[in-house]
Amino acid sequence: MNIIETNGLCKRYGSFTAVNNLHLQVAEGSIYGFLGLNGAGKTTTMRMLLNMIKPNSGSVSLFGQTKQDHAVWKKVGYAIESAYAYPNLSVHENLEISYQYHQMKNRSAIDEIIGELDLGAYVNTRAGALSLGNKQRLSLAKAMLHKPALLILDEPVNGLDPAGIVDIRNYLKKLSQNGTTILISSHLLGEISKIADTIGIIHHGKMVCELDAQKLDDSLEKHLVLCCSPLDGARQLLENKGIREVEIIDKQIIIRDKLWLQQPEKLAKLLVENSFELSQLYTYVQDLEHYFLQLVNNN
Amino acid sequence: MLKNILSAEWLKLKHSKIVPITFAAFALGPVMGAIAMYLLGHATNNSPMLQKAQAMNMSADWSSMLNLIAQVAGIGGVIVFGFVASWIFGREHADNTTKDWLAIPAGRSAVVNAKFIVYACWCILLLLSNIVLATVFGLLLGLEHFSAQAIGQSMLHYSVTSVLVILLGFPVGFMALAGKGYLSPLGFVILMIVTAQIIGAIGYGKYFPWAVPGLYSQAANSPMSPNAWSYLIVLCCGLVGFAATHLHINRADQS
Repeated sequence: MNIIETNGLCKRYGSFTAVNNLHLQVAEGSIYGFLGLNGAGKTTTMRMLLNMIKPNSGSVSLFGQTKQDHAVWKKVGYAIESAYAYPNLSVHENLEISYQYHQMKNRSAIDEIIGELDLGAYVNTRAGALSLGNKQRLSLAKAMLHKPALLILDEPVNGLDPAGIVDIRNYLKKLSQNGTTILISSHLLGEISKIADTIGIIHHGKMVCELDAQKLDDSLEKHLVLCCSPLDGARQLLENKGIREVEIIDKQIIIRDKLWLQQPEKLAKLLVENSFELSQLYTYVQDLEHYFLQLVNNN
Repeated sequence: MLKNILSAEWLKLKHSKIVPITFAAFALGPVMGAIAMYLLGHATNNSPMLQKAQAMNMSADWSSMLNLIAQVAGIGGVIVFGFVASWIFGREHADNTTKDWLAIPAGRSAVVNAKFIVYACWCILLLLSNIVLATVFGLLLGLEHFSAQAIGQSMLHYSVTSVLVILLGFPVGFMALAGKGYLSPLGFVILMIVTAQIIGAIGYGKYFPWAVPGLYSQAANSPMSPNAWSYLIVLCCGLVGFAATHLHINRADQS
């Protein structure tokens, strides 16, 4: 079952189209990474999912319902855009407000979420005095307090230190394993690829591509890079041995033949046995960010 | 449901400096009234102050003191209550917390209703605090002519003035949400006060909502005094503000 489903979602502001004919499907219990550059339309889409802004056309369905009633919002937790909280209230008081908003009955949930998000040392600290990272944790705590079945998180690791990013990543993975569906946006493919099951890339309001995270690795460009001398002789030898897709770029031999990508040690042995001076041999794997930018630029 | 949302709204007032500031600002009315009563009580026969007080039908007694705080409510209340409404509805945008309650089980209207209730309670507490202060000052000054009938009439006058001013805060709430912050509603309040002065000066104040509480609180039986239409206009103004706030929060894009 798809927990989130949009059909031909469009949002225009005058002549500017923020979201253009977006079809999005997020399966139950999955983590969907929503990726795009700043201004790509991620936040606008999330706001439409949450009924904060109305689409010009298209529809949004949450939990199979196109008209979201109060029962649907009980199952949804969200943190949209930057970290936010009531600055004059403490961490505990901010969570108390979320507790009341969700008409919860179990007060121990506040202490539990404080513990889970490592906010114990700041329970009585005013939110206005928190660091950006801790404010971000508080925003997440508010979103997760009522243990929603669907979490919509807009760039949730912004401002967190590396340890905090790992904590949140592990926490989200744990939630997903327990059945929570998560839609998480980011402009960092490297980060998203570590947790998402599916990645959707949006650019200029359009879905550029949707990838299965497990297949992402196959989509990345890979080749062998060889530095040896004499260069032309080595290339001739490799081609004579039947190796395909060999070229010289910037005084390096680039080999894209997939068969040989799996056995670089045989390549090294071949060159050394034929008296070539091999100074470097490595496998280049395209950087995730580079791949993302390439996709975006192609669109 | 509303109980939960009200609890959340009350909690938002906690540790806020605005609450004591509004009480201090509103308390200036009875303080000034007490000073006026003291000076009137000790004025010599030919003093300019006594002459002016007589022209205003004022004397150092309970009735005058209570009428004075009604005038403070009618005129100062428009400013202070406008500030209260601006803060309750506008601070959420300033703190970027509005989105916290846009997709919650209770619904947005419940939050808006809770905000109006908090606004009304806050104003009522301000009004009550002025009565308490006026009573304390009156007792300390030993004001004369304490009569249950006169006090009853003054309290009725004060209560009607209070209701009129509280109603005028509802459109301010709408301005704060639609204008996304404090500036629009505060600008709106100032504009309305200035306009009320101009319209009042040309003799049509009784038909302009923001002039009506001030005219009523002065209670002069002149052609300027408000009539039934005046009260209806203020009531409509409050209802339109209330409805517009709900329509805006439920229908307009909250970006």
